[in-house]
Amino acid sequence: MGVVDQVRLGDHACWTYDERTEGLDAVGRFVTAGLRLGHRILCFLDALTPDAVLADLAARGVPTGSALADGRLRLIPAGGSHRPQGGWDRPRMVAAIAAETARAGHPGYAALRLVADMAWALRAGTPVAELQRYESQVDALVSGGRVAALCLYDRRVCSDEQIRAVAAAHTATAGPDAGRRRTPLLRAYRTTDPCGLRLVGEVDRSNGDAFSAMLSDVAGCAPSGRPAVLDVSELAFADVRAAYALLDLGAVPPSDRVRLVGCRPALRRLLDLVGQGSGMETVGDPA
Amino acid sequence: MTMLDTTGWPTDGLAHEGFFYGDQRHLLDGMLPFIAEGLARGEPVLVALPTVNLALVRDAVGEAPGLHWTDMGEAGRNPGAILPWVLQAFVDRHPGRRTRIVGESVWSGRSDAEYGACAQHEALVNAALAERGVSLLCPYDAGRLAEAVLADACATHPVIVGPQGRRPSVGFAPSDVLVRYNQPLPAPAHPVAALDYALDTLPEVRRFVTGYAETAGLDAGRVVDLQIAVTELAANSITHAAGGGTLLVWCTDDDLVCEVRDDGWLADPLVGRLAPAPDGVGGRGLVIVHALCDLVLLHSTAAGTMVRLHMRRWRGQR
Repeated sequence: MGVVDQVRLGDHACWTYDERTEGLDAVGRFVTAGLRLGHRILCFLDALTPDAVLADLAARGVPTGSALADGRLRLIPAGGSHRPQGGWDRPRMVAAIAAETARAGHPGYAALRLVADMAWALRAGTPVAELQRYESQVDALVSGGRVAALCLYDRRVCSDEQIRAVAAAHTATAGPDAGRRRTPLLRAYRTTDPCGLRLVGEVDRSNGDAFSAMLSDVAGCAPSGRPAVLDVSELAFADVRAAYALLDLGAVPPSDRVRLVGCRPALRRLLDLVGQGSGMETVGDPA
Repeated sequence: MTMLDTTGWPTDGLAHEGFFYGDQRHLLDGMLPFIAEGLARGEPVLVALPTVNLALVRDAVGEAPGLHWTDMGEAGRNPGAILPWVLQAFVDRHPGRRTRIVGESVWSGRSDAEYGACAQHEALVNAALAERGVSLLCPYDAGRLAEAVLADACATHPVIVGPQGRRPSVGFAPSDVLVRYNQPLPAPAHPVAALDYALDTLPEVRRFVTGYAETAGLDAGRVVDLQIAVTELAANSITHAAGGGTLLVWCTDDDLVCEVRDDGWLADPLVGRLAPAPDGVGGRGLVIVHALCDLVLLHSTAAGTMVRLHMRRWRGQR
């Protein structure tokens, strides 16, 4: 069993591979699990072609005929309607995903599994900042808990630095050699009453950008005049940057844009330190 | 001018003076007028002394509005924390006002490792607070501290108050002190466990450290402090060095020690010694590391950087 089998609804996973077969294997496992669970599956493909994915599924003994026929499984090749010119078109791509995620989990619609084969984007020279913006937008769409997304990047066509920058916009990062970690580092569950997020797991530099994207999303979700509520009781670890992100968001008194619930003593102390270092709050008297 | 003249301080810019006292009588003779002059001028005054001296001076002076006390033995146990978390914090809390601080950072019980960090701290004060309106008087126990320590104090303070009176320090050369104490850290004398890390193994860095921290007897809050500190240093390696580095962990009789090595270069010695502006980016992590650990030692050259964190095993619960 690999990490890809642990991707659940609400997860936005970045999967990096060195060999095409590793990429196909990840897609095959992810799709197989989705079919078994009755999810709808939508794959935006490129170098990992629809034919190759179908061949991999066939080799696993997974029947796909009826799922393809009734639209539960859709394999979109390069040049599909989300990017008809085959090039980078962030608004169109995000809109295509948003249209699908908006229906996911509602009555009559199953949860959604999304696969995005992204190696082409770096190969085509798309700026990393653009990719980060795109992945952050996907982050916000996925964090509701009715969608799971698997983004694939080919290590051979990008530098370590590019991979790091893009990976940080995902809640979890993995590759074939990262089997030691069995679950995504951070999970976020949208809450509606009160409006906010429940965070489970850990935040560090490896997923910090995804964390920030979630935060800005939650800050905007609450009705005016009422703070969004961030349940951090199951947030086992938050690094210094995460504390600064919470501070910037207004999760530290006297600001009340976001209210923290279940803040552990260690996180409280870290927030005090970063607040003090920023000259925002003076905590305690030196006397 | 008497030998203990500690009054007549300037009213603008940084004044940083060393004060060599021979015994407790001398210490009081120097402290009382310095504090009184500050209060008379309406300057907020902070007296930061090691535990015994703090009690001595506090008994003699008593309380007054605008007069604050800090136990340097606690707040300054990590010399690297003194600049951001004691001195700058006090100055920042009084925006637009001249402040006055007694800061005794060196005392005879300091280990050699701590002392090196103290000398660096004293040297860095001159640049770090150059633009701030603060009068800083640094007592040195001339009766007990080594000659070399007093020579360093002459190199890090532009003015020395001592048996010869108050005079400009002829040996003032803070940059030399920074160079002299930026030395490779001594090899550990205990068995060392090592772990290489990269971005996708940051969580494992925490697991690794946690096992040793619990075995060493650190309480739960201190374990998290160490997780935060080590994660920060490792993340800095990933960002600034060649994508990763090596973590070493070992345990001495008194401390759990973690060391991060990478091929990056911290060229600016002030990184981590000042809390950055609210919109500042650099150094935000290292300044927090200084606040969380009992001792932070650093050696950095163009060939690479090692940062060593000490967590005392026998400190009480916070």
